[in-house]
Formats: sequence, structure tokens, C-alpha cells
Amino acid sequence: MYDVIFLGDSVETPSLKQLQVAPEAVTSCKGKVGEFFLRFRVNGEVHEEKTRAIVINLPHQQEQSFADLPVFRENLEPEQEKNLIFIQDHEEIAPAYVNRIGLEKALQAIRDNASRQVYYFYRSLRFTEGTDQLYEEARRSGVAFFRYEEDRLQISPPDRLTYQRGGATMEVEGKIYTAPLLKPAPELEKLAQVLRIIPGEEGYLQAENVYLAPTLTGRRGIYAVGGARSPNGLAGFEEEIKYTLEEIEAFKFNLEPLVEEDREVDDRKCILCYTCYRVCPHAALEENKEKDSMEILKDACWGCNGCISHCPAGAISLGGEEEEERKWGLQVLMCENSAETARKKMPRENMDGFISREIPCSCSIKKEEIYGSLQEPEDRILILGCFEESCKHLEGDQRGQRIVDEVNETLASLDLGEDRVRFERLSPPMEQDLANLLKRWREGQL
Amino acid sequence: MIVGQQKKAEEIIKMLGEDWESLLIAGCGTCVTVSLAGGEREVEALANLLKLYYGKKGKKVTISTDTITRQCDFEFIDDIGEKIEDHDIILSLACGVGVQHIVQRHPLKIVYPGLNTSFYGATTAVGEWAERCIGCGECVLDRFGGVCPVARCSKSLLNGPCGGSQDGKCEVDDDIDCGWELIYNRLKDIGLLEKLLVYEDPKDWQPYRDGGPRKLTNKEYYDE
Amino acid sequence: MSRIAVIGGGIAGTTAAVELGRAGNKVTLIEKTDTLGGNIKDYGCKAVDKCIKCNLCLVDETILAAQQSPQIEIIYQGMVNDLTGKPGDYTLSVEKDGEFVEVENLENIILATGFIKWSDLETGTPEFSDDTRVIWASQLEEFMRRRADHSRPEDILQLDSIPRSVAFIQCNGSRSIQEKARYCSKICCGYSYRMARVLKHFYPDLEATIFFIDLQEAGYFLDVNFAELDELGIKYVNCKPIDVSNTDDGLRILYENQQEGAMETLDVDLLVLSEGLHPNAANERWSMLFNMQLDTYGFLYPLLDEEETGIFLAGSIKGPRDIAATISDGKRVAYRVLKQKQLCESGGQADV
Repeated sequence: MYDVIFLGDSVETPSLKQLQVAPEAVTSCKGKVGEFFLRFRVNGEVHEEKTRAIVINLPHQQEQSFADLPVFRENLEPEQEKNLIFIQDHEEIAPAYVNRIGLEKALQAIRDNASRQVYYFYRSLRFTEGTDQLYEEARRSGVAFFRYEEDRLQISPPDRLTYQRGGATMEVEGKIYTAPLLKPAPELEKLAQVLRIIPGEEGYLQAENVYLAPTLTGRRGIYAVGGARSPNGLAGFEEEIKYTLEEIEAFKFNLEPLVEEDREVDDRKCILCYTCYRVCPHAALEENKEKDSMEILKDACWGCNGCISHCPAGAISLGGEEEEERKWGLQVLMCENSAETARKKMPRENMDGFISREIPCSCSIKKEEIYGSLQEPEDRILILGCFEESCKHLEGDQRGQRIVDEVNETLASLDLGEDRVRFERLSPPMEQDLANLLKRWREGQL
Repeated sequence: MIVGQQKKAEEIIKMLGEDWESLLIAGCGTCVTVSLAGGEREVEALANLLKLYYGKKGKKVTISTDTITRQCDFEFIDDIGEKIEDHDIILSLACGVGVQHIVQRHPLKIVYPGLNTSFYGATTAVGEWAERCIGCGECVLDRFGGVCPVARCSKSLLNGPCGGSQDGKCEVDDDIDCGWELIYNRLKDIGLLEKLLVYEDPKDWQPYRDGGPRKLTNKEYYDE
Repeated sequence: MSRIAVIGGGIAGTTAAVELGRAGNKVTLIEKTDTLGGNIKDYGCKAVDKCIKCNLCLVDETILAAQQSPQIEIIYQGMVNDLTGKPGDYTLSVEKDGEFVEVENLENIILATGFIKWSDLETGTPEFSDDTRVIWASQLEEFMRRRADHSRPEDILQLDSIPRSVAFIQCNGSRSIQEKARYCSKICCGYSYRMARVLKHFYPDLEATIFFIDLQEAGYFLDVNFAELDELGIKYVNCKPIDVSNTDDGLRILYENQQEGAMETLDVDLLVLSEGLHPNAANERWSMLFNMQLDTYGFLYPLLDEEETGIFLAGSIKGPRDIAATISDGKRVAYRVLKQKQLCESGGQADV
């Protein structure tokens, strides 16, 4: 059993037993945090290793921002004799990491040869850890900094540049280095698939969701750092990696499930359709070959109940869940991660006249239950989920929204009312909004 | 598996008409459960929706539900045999095979289809299925790199694409991948492009529908 | 049984306390006010049509968890007065309601008393502070709290009429020698960007302009960039304005258009000043009491190995950081404490 397997670059960690595996070698990953079974193929041979956690640490893909011009990067040795020109933010604002490399290289260049000119053109400097000192040092050492507007810099490869400011025009000559554009590592797409991670924007392995800060992916126990995490993934790399390894270390003696309740799959009803497996944003379901049924890995489960509401065979249930008594009237279903937290902070009387129920995620609503709860003319249902991109279960709000949309479309087609089911989004600090929303909904003014 | 899609509620209600008091919605626990159209959950949802509808109309009805493992086998149908007999109308959420099999077992019952049986397909994403086979009765996949020209070319061409293929898409619809482009790329990837140099005779459609409704026997099991 | 004390019930301290409580430790959380949440509790969610990752949702959850945890004892209105004992067995003397309480058997102490805002410093107050049209960024929080009745913004912000234009001036109390803060406060760019976005959402016709020195990468997630600002119709000017004056039309901002090398003016109805993060005045006392080092600006860093002394620093007491980074740091410190405890219990064997 390893404590951590690094996919990509490893980071030295004396207290963790570790293994490094090439990302392209990985073929599957079963199990859960604390006990993953990672399969990979090396020289045609298939290996399977157990590990408590997985860290994906791959460099960004660095692209040229300006055709024919070299980019500055960590291992660059600036040319010796010539004047040098560094340009950042040409295509897009460079992240702090690129900013730091640029400043380091400019400083190195002027120190190598103080008699030459080193120009540094930028649109915005990013001052995170240490970059401000670098800038100060570079400035004092003689690097000439110029801020430019988008259309005021004309680059004529290979070594000329025209810079306009106010009425003045300046022409400089020298070897030009431009900032690289950082793109997600090419292996990420396949890794997302194999490791069953919902990717974020541009294909980085973290869905940029507040619940995943700073480095967790949607699958508990798998972390993305640096070029696997986000475009600015390297700005706080040191801190990110320390945090990640310390959390993994904590798993060794303190790995508690995130949820208390037991969710159970009834093996007599499960037909192994794999819908739950595909719907789960946290990769918490797996087939149990012995039982011939799917199974919920409790340590991996975040408790959204999406599997329960989406199982077409009705095979999954919350252990010990009792049939709720039918209630009529104005029903409010509130996500425990947003509206329910807000409700707890709101004066109690605001809930008078409403039947409210806490739900673990808006994706847990079932259309059959909604239809079942609308049987009286005065029945209406308000479902309160989270804002897009802040759903703890990554896509839960969108699933909830889709269920409501479908229900409303069907109800409208049968003339059963246009606005009896409503989906709204809130966040935990919005207790006043909640009070207001409830009032307006009751009065039919939403 | 057989992929089905539930009929619109409006259509189902029209089909059911006025002349009934009790309805049994029967789900099927195999293909159409996997294709999320006719399993236990869909049965419940439809039942509750219809209750809501008839409740508003003021029509007094009894709506029951049951989902069996497979409607294409009598043994399972017989599990709910009495229940079928006790209801005026049976709405089957199985594929067309299931509907007809109930009819065959219960010759005097009114049985309606709740689904449109769509095609044989595979799950391509959660909630998405794609047609991969039409059941032509004579498999040709060996000659086409495992990509079926009959099912995946809109025109079922056997000797190369038509002139309408553009950027890998079919002229019938931009959403359809050109089956022939897939065949070509696949054979190229596995280095077997020369397979395409062999001329394919016109397909014999007899084993398909053109020979009339089909029947199969397995000699080992079937006693003539 | 030994306990862990957490000093400061802000987000760093509360997060650490909750993590340690979850792992089965007895925690005493000492908070000087009568509520948890520290600087953050007055801030409101910045989501408009979608989440813009201010991370505030995590704060409420953590505070509730701390309040409900049977493992965590919270001392409200408690002021730490003295520290005695030795590593592994400290005692804190806490003043509460004029009396002194001893918190004993402390194996570890986490110091997380955070930062103060530039506006809370006397030197931070601008001359025109009595003009209701000039507000500190944090004053917009009143608006955020009452966004449900956003149809009357002028009432909420106590203005005479609905503002047609707003300007944000960045880097107040940061990156300035005069203001004794050459560092970047890290949170203000993201804050103003989010607020400009919220205001634009409610009042699409509002003209919003942000004056800044540089745009910072605001935290783990949010990456503010010019393209994004363009898309939202938020204007940006690269400079710190030179002067603000009163005119009949509103506030007149005098600034240098660096590109043209010319002085220009902008008239606005509302001016929002960003607030840098500054070290807490208590840091000096903490440095002596807990044997910590003050940096050039007054933030703390440990003089000795924290694992050795058992006294850890968490959150913005060490320097500016945003909510996500503060929460992460709170967790990190908790993990380190847990690891240290584990090592002690297993007799120094690292591999368990």
C-alpha cells in the first residue's frame, strides 16, 4: 500500500511512501480514498497498486504566444551579448507563475551583462509570493519596465519593436522573448476519463468549485496540482502541494466518511445499468461482482443522493429512511448546502405556512415525487438549489434544474399549470433573499 | 439493447380515451430500464402524472403500477397475470415486443404501448444512446473494421460513401457522423485499408425484413 | 485529557477547530467578540447569475459546524491574557467578563487572530470621509446584505439618488510606502471586480470604472483579466488617481492617462475605496507572549519550529490571503497538529 501515487512529477515526501507513474500508462482506477486500486501498463505488463491517494502533477503545455518568437521558461539561458526584450500579456494576461519566470529571466540577463539593455513590456504585473521583490530588484538592477496598451505595441520579428505612449514613439531592438501561453497538459483529457473526474473549464482537472479548494478533484483522494489544476495553478504551487501532502498524511490516521447515513443498493433490484455510476460526480459507485450489484463506497460518497433519484430501477435508498407522510400546500425543498443554511439564520416566522424539507442536493429531487406532491390544486413546490458553479456536487444544480424544466414542460403540455414547480438558486449567506423570495413566491410574484 | 423513448403524456392520454376506470402501468426491468424509459422509476412518475391529470379533470380512476423483469417472457408476465386481468387497460412501458407478448398471453385485454421502441443501441453518454445495429440478419462487420455500413451509413451503402459526406458528417443531418468516414479511418488505423478494395455484392435483404417476419430456432433446445 | 486551544474565531481559527474536533480532539476556541466569523461574517455572497467563487458559502457551514460540535468549547468575549507552562502542557489565562479563566492541559495552541482592515486604522481615514458618496469597499456589504430589496439602492447606500456611475480605487492601504504596506493585500482586486459585477448586474446602465496599479490573480480560483472586464462593460484605468474633489455633478477624480501622458478627469456619483489588509495591533504582544517574530510590516512568523513548540500560526495573522487560502491554511495547520499528535502517541515512529 502506497500513501500516494504521483501521476506525472513526484514531489519529495520523506514521510509518505510514494510511487511515480506515467499518466499515459494508467488504465483504470477502482476503489476509493484510502484504498485506490490503480492499474497501469509498463512495457506491456499490467500492474495494479494500492494507494491511499493520488496526486496528478503535470506541467502545463506551453504554447508560443507569438509565432516565430521564442518563449521564456524556467530553463531558458538568456542570450549573452544582445539587448533583450521581454514581452508578457501579449495574447492574454500572463498568470503569476509566468510573470515570475519573466522577471527572473530579465533579472538574470541584466546581472549577466549589466552593459546591455533589458526591456520588459507588460500590461499587468502579478504580485504574489515574492514577485514584488523580484520586480523591485530587477528595476533597481536596470531592467527598463514599460506598461503598454493592447494596440500600442508593434512587434516586428525577429528583433524589432515599436512602442507608443502618449505622443511619443519608441523603437527598440534586441532579442525578443515572449511569455508562453499556458494550456492544460495533453494527458488530462484521458486521465479525466480513466480516473472518472469531472473536468473544469478548458479541461483542467479541477472544476474550480469552492468545495474543492485548493487542489481536490471531484473524486475524494485524488488531487490536481500545478498544470493539472488550473491556468493559475502554479502561482501558489508550494502552498498547494504542502496542503495536499499534509491532507494525505492526515488520511493515514484519520479517514472519516464525509457522510453519516448509509446509502444502500438493493442487490435484488439492481440491474447493473450503471446509471448511478455515470451520474455520481464523486465516483463513489462501483460494481460488486460477488453481489452482482452496484455498491456505494462510503468513504468516497459526498451524500448528494443523485444516485438514489436517478436509479431507473428504484434500487438505491437511504438506510433507515422512512416513507414521509404526504404533505400538501406550499412545499419548499432546500439544499442543505445553501438555502437550508440560510434558513437556519432567518427568523423562524418567515417559514410559517410553508412545508419545508432539507434535501442534500437539488439533484436528489425525483419527478415521480414532484408529480405525487402536486395532487391538490393549491400544491406548489419551490426547489432551492445552489448557484451554478458552486454546487458541492459539481453538476447537481444543473441536474436539478433539468428535472424541474422537464416536469414543467410536461405539466404545461397537459394544462396542469405553468408555474407550480419552481427552481431558484441561493447561497448560504442569503437569508434576507430567502425571506424575500418566499414572500414573493407565496404571493405568486416570482 | 433495445432503446425506447416514452411517448408524450398528451399522446398517452389521448390513446387511453375516456372509456375506462382502472389502468395498470406495467414497466419492464431490462432494456428499457437501462435506456431510462420504462423502468420502475418511469412507471411511478407516469402514474403520478396521470393521477394528477385525471384528478384535475375530476375523472375517477384507479391507477396501479408494477414492473417485471422482462415482458418478453411469459413466465414474468404471469407473475402479474391476475393484476392484468383485474384492470381495464394495460399500458406497457416495454418495447413493442413486450406489448405484444402481453397481448398474446391475455388475448382479451386492451394493451397500449407507452413507449416508442426506437432502435438497438449502446449508451454513449449518460442519457444518450446511439444506433449501432439494425438486425439485418447477416453480419458484415468483419469486412468493415467493426463499423457497420448497414446501420451507420444513412443509405446503408456497402461500396464506399455517397457524395454527400462532408467534414466527416452525413448529408442527412450534421449531427450524424458519416459511417463511411468512420469505416475508412478505422481500417486505416488498424492498417487494413486494402479490405475496402474488395467489391461487395448487393446485400441479400432476405434475412432482414424483406423475407417477412422472422423466426429462429435453436436445434439443441427446440423440439420440432 | 489534553486539549487544543485556538485563539481567534475567524475563518482560519474556526476551520482549524472544526477539523481538530472532527478528528476527536477537545478544542477550546477563544473569541474576543460574541460571534464567530471574524472579519468575514459581515460579508455577503457575490453570486449573480452564477457563482464567482468568493468562497463565502464555506464560512457559514464551518461556523455552524463549530457551534454544533460537542468537541468544541467556545469562549466568547474572551481575551488571552497570559501564557504559562511548557511545550506539551501550556495554560492560557483568559479574561472574560472581568474575570480570569484558566484553560489548562494545552498540548497545542493555534494563534489565528487575523488582520484588520485599512479603514479600521486611524491613518486610513481619508479627509473626505464624511462625504456619503465616498465609501469603503466593506460598506458595500450593507448593500449585499439587503440585495433582496435592491430596487432602492440609494436608501441602502444612503445616497440622494440612484448612482449612475461608480469608480473603484484599488491599492488603498497596500503597495505604498506612506501607508506602511508595500505588500499586495491580494484580496482587493478580486473584491472590487466581484462588486463591480454585482452592481452591473442589478443596474446594467451603471458606468463602472476601476482604477488600479496592477490586476492581481485573486486567489486559487478567480482570475481577473482585462478581457473579462471588457465583456462585462467595466472600464479600467491603469493608475492610482491623484486627487478627488467635489463638483456640482458629483465627485471629480483627477488621474493621469498614462497612455496619452495627459491629465484627465472622471465624474462619478459613487466612489468605492479598496481596503488593504493590515496586521492586528495585538501581534506585537503575541510576538512576546508566544515567542513569534514580527515581519517588516507587523505580520507574524514563527521564530522556532512550530512542531517543537506546539504553537502554530494560522491564516492572515501571517500576511494577507483570501478566504479560500485562509480556509486551506486553517485545515493545513490542523493536519500538522494531528500529525504531530500522532507522532507523539506512536513514540516518534513516522510510519503508522
